Amino acid sequence: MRETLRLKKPTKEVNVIREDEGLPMGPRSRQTFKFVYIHYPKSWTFDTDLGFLPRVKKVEACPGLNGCKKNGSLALTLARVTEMGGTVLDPKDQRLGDYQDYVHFYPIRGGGKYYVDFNKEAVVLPNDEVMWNTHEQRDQWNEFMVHVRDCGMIQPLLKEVYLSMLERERKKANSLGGRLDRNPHLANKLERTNARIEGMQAHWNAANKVTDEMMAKAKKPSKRVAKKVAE
Amino acid sequence: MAVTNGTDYSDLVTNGGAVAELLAAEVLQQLYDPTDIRATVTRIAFNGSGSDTLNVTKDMVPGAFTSPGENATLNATTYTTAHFDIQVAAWRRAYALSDLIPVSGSPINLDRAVNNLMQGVALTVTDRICNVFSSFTATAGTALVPLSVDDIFDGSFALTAALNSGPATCVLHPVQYNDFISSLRSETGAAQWMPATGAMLAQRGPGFKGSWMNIDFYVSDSVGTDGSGSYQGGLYTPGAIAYAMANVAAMGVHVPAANVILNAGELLVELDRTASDGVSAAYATMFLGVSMAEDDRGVEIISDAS
Repeated sequence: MRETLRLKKPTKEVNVIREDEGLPMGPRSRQTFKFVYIHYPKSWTFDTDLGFLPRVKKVEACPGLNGCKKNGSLALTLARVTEMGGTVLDPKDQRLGDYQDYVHFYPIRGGGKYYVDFNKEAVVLPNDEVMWNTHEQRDQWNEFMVHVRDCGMIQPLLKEVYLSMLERERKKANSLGGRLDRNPHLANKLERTNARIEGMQAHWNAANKVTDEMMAKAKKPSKRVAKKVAE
Repeated sequence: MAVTNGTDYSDLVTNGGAVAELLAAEVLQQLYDPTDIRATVTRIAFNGSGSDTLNVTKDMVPGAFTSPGENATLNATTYTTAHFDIQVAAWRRAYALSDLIPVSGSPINLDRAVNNLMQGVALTVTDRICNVFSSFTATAGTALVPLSVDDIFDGSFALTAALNSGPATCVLHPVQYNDFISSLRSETGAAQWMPATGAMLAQRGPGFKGSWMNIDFYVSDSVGTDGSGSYQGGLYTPGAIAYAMANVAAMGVHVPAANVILNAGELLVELDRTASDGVSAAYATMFLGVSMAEDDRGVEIISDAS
């Protein structure tokens, strides 16, 4: 004889009116890929508060791009980066500390992953428009750059690179000064550029006092004296 | 005398005498960026001969002669070539339409879907070319600072210093371009009086914007951002970036001829009819590889993304 069956409480369906799990992808959205940060010895920038910061670039594991395999293998791509003098910031490197595994992702609504930098935060508006909090991500990024600079993963700033950055800034100041009489709006820019020049010198000198012997120096070509030709 | 018991339109809609909405005869296009910058980079022929990777040789740079002196042996110079690789990978997209769509008289049909897939080829190549910009080791501009005329000059000077000859191509994000134009409109001096400066200030859609200082400007939303929130545009001369597209006709051995809707050499669209589900699908396939060919021929243009 069949008995009456009393079922347990049903599970709640939370997405009835609106599917709100994951990032919505509009028709203009593009696929993103896993990535690795790299740094080249000449890629530096200057922040008046934080000093010289490395300019870290991103190599995406995009099949068919710069030798990336169809399975996303970056072996060839990163070998080329190293050949060009770049340093690969391995996401598993312990020196990264809290920034280890810096590749993050949002699940995409309907399946898939949307890869983003560790500092990106998405806000999904009621109309499914995605807004990225770009202002706050800058501070986090700069903190990351300070960490990369100080943790020993990359070569320190070369004196030659510093001097070329300083020279470029001086030329910029000269150019702005030459146009200032016809362009009064350039006064602010000139002021900022002069502040950057002073800041660059101050930061370099401050860092140099402590780490003068630790600074990497470019190799000088060895001097060779030609042999005298027998007469 | 007032009319009573009149039948209004809403009554008809409620009672089935009229329908709430009808499809218009026209189908309009939504805004999108159709920019195709393939013409600005080098195409390398790809004929499958046992590998998915092309090794492209870069010839040795010609050198000036040496003067070895009288009765001295001249040592041969090593003929040092360079190379870069292009690896092609499959890029695909598909649309599947149920049988009810044509039966209901919708203007959306498989032909339109195939046409849409064809537009995707240029978008895919443009996306990939823009991905290469961050690979250039040289940069101009400053992260988190709006792009200015000075930054474009810096990039141009870097190309000149690296022995590049013009014309150069500059691909910027729309926001970068707006910042550049804001800077350009207040520019004084030689650039102020150039007809090209005035022409650059004119509003145009995405794509080719005009030539200024022997630089062809393109705007594309394919330009990406870095971790700091800065756009990564590119300024380069011919030979900086190369791409290859494999001939999809070679897929013919796998795809029954009757299923091929379109075979355009670089793009193959095949029909997949699943009778059990009542769905017809168009699958588009292309094989694309893009690589930086020579670092000295390009500069990354970085500027604030907000």
